[in-house]
Amino acid sequence: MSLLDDRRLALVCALIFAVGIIGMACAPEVEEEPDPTEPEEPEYDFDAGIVISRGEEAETLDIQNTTHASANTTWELLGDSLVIFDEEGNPSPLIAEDWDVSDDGLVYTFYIRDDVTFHSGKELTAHDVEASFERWLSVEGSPTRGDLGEVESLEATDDYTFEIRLEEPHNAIWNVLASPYGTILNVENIDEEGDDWGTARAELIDGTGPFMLADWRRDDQMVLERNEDYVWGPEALYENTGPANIKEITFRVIPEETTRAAEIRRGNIHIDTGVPSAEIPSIKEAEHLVTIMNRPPSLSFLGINCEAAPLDDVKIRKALAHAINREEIVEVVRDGMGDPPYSFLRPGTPGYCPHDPLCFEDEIIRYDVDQAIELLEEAGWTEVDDDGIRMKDGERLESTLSISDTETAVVQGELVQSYAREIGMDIELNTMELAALFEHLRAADHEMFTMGVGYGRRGPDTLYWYHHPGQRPAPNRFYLEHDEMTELLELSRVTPDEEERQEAFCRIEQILLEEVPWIYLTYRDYLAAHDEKLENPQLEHAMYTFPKLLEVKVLSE
Amino acid sequence: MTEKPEQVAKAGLSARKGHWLIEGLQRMRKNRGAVVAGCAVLMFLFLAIVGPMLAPHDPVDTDPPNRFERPTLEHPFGRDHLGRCIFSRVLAGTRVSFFQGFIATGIALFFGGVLGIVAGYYGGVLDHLISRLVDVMMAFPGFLLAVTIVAALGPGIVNCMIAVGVSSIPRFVRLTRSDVLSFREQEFTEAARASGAKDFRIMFRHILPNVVGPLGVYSTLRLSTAILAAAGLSFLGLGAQPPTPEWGAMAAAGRGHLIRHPHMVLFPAAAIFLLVLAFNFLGDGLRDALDPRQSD
Amino acid sequence: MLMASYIVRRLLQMVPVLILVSVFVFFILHIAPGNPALMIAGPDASIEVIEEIEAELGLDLPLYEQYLRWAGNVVRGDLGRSLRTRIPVTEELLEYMPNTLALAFVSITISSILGIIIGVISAVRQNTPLDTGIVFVAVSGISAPSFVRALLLMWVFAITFEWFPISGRPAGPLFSLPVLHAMALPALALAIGGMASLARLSRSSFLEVLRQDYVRTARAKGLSERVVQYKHALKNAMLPVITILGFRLGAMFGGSVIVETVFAWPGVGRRIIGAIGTRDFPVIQGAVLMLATVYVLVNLLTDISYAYVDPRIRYD
Repeated sequence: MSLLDDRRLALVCALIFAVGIIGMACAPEVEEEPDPTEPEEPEYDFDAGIVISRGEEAETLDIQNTTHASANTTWELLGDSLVIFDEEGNPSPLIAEDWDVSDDGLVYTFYIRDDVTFHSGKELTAHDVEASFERWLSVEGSPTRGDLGEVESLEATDDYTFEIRLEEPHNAIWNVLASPYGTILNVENIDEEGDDWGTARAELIDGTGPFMLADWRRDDQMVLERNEDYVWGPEALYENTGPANIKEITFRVIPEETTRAAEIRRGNIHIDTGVPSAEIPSIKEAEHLVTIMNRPPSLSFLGINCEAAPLDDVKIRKALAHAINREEIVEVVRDGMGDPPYSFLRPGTPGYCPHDPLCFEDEIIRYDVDQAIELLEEAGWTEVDDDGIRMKDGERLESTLSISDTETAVVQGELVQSYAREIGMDIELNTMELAALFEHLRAADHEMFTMGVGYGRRGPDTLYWYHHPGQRPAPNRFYLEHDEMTELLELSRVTPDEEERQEAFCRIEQILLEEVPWIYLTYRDYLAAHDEKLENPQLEHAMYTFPKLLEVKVLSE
Repeated sequence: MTEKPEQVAKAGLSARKGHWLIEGLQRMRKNRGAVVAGCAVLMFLFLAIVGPMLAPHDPVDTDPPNRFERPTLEHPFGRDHLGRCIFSRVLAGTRVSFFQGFIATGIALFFGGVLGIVAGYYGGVLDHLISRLVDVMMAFPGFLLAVTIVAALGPGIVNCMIAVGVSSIPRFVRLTRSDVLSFREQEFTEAARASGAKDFRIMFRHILPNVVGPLGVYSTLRLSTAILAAAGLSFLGLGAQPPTPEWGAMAAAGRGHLIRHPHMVLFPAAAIFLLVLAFNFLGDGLRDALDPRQSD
Repeated sequence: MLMASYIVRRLLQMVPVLILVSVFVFFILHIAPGNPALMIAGPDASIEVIEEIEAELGLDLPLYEQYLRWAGNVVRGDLGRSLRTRIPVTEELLEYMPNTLALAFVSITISSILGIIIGVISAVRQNTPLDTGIVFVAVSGISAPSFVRALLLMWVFAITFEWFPISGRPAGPLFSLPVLHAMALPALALAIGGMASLARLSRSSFLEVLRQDYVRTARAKGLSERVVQYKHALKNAMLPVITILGFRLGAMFGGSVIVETVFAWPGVGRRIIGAIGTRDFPVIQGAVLMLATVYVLVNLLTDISYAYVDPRIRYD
């Protein structure tokens, strides 16, 4: 065996391996042949099943005892709430065909439809509604039951009338009543299994929705079947009020984004409501996929602890806000899916300033490095050390940004870090697991953090949670003491006067821009994709409220 | 890469007499694969020391408008999702990945070695206790152990090194212990004991030098495992803190862009691959060289 | 009878090991920052809600009391309930464990067969280019990070050539054809890691055996070289290989975490990672305990089977 042989062979092996890797990585995508036998007039398959991907399994289907997104999605299909928000964000009939609210805002009376049945065949009456709410309020540790406000009593005054009495007005109550948390459940089945009902046996999950749970293999797939008796779909949202046009829905759990995207490109998944940003180009290119942009009221932001030096100085907060190039963040972090934000509420969402010019037009903070540097110099940070970091009285201008360890949060954090460096501020990133981050932020020793908030259609109400002093240490993690804002927040909770409420929110937005406890980073858009053989899946709001899938039809093959 | 430390122990056993190291290295010179690997490791070591200085660009300097740029003359490995120069990052990352493996293995070597010597030398209850402890750690899947430790300590390079290091301690204990057992009753130990040497002195002056060989060989092999484990932790988001250029984290960050921008994964993955490959071959070569039975 | 008492003693030795494993997991998890109640309630929940959940889950008790409570239940065969799904942990494990065990089994089978074949070929062709090449390829396989390996396998064989499903576990019994089909890539991704070490080991032990007396005798008896190599030597060369199979299992369980995530395989590794993320203590403790038990038992089994293959081994 000569030396040359050996070496040559090793070289060849190495080459093959390297070429293999490159070839694999660059391998062209297999082109999907367009279906040549497209019928002239679409024919639909009403017995078809569709597959929807999800990144995480629903931990439990006990919707009164979870805030898990997958559970929410599932219950949009399995059940119905009393009311549902229409396109404008106003409550519209679902289980309740009508309702009254007393002038003092304390008594809500709902008139229940008389033709609704549970999947088990049991007829739904106001007593079931009462039992369902009673159970909700009795679940120890339910994360959502408090959102109903201070409930004095719940009562079915007759078979089709249900009354909620509150101890004090609570404008935000609609947010939960119209959400899947407010789904009316058949509590008889709950009693049978107690607290474990949400995961016990598929046949015990009994709602009134357009689909019924047929099979559930955890972390793998969940199968839903059409409810043939369903005719009470919300007219405000759907032309077809039931039954659905498809027979079966399968949710498949695929945690790894790359894998999920590969499956939908292959045609094994028919709906993906949250296409990962890195996969957007490849999904958009796939010919058999239709993409829909979701523009939910959803914001990612950088929050500042206004008590922690050096960020206790509003000038520094403002300087940092000026240093952030929001357009670029949208481009890089979200692949252009979103808008640069300049206020807490996304334009067009309820509560957003209705005036033109905006009430807070003059305060808006835009990308302006010169302005940022000027502010820092004004604040006395004039010296610069060898690394280009600003100094004042021998102290470096530095701070820590706590972020979760998800890819998006990290990329966003790295960008913020590089913007801060531009103006001479040193930001250390502190990434941690979500569980650790939550606890860290509660311990109140954070300086800055990034988070996202999807505030729903009645978003301004969330400002109360974020800024009322009574909400420290969380969700009020900003620690901004501002008496005027506190008063306005309290007013917004109880006033029955919509106009006064609106004025309050406009002023609050203005205060937030003056004090800069938030640096808004992006309004997030989400790309939903579906197979072209699905017609009208109504995914426009899927990130925020999953559709009941009553309209979707599947083209016959 | 072997899973059986005892195998390596034998290598040391048979090579302990004479100038085992020199003889071994001479034998190794015939193993071209190992020599090449050894040179590669030296080159990586060199890069780890001077790499950051050689980097043509600041490895943390972002340039978002030019992100995902394909390899060019100025940026031979292209640019990443934030427009950073991948070549500079890979260079700068050599130090991180290299020393991550080095220190993790060092931790395992130190604690594993000490526990192993103590267990092997004293025997009895102490040995029993340490052996049970090792059983416990062995029964805990190594990578999961590392994940749990990182969860407890929080992510970051240092914690990552500790986690990977601690999770490989048991193998070192086993190896050292079985080695020491065979020396405990040997003449030179007896002689030292007879001359009134203290236990501590016997353990570390007389026995230790004899187990250094196999331990060194095994460490070289474990280095590759440690580097891969650190990369795996980075894949799960538990590794180096951004924007530190760490190869595993870089490859993991690029995995979503694999189809369109393969260079983001290719270069850092190739760097890990080459370094680990080099350590594997070097370790193999060392073991073969120190085990005369295989040197025909 | 020696064997029986040996087995009993080994089984008894398992007990303290498992207790220590559980203590270790329990305390390290509880030192870790993160609060399951906070994960359940969400980051914005009020302090009252969180305290309520903590009380509900018994998280407000002193640590040792929590452990004793849990351990007491384990002794009675009750691993507790998941804090998140509220399913009994035993039930969850029965759901996830078979998937992981099947994956580990298939992948150990693949890696043993390939590893031994490669090892034997390179031993027989010792120091030829074939030997060098094979060793190089084998070592290359384990030198790539496992997630890169898994993604590449998926990319080539599932996405580009469409020979295998991309991800998931089809419905049906574990060893039915569609399930095995879907298992092939994740199992291969796991197997490559073990293959190289098995190849190395079987190569060196095969070489050693070839030099031994009885092989020489067989040769002297005039048996053809091929028969000598494959019949006599192979059997004896397998001994050390068997011993490391037990060790491999631990690495398999560890590696399954990443492979199961990439291929969306509903296995226990992925479940543990999810549970660590949400601080679902009972699930992590239960799953780790179960994995440790399987690991210890399999190692006992390999030791016993070792004795069958090689009667020279004594138990003392």
